[in-house]
Amino acid sequence: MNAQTDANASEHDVRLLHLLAERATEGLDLDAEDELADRLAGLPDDMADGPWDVDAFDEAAALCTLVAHAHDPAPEALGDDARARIESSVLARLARLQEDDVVPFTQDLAPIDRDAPPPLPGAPASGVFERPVDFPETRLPISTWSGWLAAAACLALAVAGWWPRIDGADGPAGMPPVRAEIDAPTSSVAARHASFVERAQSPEDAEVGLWMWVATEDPAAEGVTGDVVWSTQDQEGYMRFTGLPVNDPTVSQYQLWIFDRTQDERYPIDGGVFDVDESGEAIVPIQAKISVDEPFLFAVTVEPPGGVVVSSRDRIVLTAATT
Amino acid sequence: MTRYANLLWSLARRHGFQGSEAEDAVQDIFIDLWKSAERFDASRASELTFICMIARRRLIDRRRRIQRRPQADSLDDSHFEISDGTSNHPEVVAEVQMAAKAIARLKPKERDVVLLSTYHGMSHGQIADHTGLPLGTVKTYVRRGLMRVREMLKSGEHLQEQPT
Repeated sequence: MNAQTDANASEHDVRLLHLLAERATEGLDLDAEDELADRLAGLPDDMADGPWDVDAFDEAAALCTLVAHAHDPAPEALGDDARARIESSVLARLARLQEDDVVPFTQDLAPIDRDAPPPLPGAPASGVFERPVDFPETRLPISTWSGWLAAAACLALAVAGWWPRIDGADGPAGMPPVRAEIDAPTSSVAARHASFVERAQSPEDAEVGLWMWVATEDPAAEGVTGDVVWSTQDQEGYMRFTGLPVNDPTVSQYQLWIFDRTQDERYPIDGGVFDVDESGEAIVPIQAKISVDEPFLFAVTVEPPGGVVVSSRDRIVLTAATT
Repeated sequence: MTRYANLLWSLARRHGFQGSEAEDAVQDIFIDLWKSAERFDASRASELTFICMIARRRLIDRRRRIQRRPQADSLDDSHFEISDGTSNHPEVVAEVQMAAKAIARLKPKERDVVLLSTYHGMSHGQIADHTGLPLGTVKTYVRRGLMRVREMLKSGEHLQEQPT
């Protein structure tokens, strides 16, 4: 299909080009759709993917649209409220779509290379754990992007109605979550974290797990890297963040949730509420409210001061998952 | 979603949807993208172009269902100035910059008709009324304009030269 083709085309060909162009710009009624289908079906097989590429007009129209959008001095702006409603609704709809065909949350996450050296403080996560870079430097292939949507959808499904398992008086109407303390990296907390990372990297110690944080699209996740380490045997673990924004505890706090294979996925374990009070690197002890036996997903959310017992899951900032 | 929400919102608004209608349209596009992801062929078009194709199809379908059209009188000036590839928008990829060069090489009236149709979502009849061109001419401009853009992109024809 090209301009020369149009100039020399038969009446049949011109009509076919007209239908394809019409479909790409203003759509076709049912009769025209049927006519287009009949005409395309009548093409020789070797023509359908060549000069009569049926998507060519749509692609050209899309590119024209993108060019005009890129040069639009005043494109329509999407407000924060509308954006939040759209994202929330899409995640909920995707979660419903996933109910009968669940895609593993971790489908795009490679296994941890236990022989690799531990991540350097402040160094970005590597490989598939690296946060997607925005245009124009690097773009996620659609498979990865859709995989993230799948992950988000699964997470939305998993957190639909979630609340932490808290013993006794610490039920949904019980005491507020225990606050985790954030320490400077030079403290014993940092030393414990470092020792856990070392254990996780050791072939002789498969008991400690190490996972890299994956940033979501939440604004607070911009540029955040780090890891989470957990020992089921010790029931002890630490989170390391680089670049997680300082929060105002009177406005909002971060909260960790731990998904455990031995538990119902709808009820992640409350891993503690914490604050970031200075920029740079922060290491936070995990304060799991009950025993964590087989963690497979960690998620950090932004919640009201004091944390919550049932997350609204409006702001999922980071996730770290096993394969 | 954050990366593309602004673009899809802008397209929905350009196609005449407002408020909750526009929100619903954007939601439907995201869902359709999810369902259509396996059809993406990186050797054929960029992810951004693929997303825009899906979005346009959904918006066109939706608009036909409710017979909604953007108001032509909302356009103060239907003459478009397309530079040869520079833009202030961060999501622009090389493919779009090349397309800008191709569009810049179209005849001015042809370019205006193509962009009124593709970006502003105007029907061919509305474009004819708005520009004073005969309907048949509008249809021809749309068809040939799109074909030429595609043709130049495929061949790389003259895209390194300054538009005349």
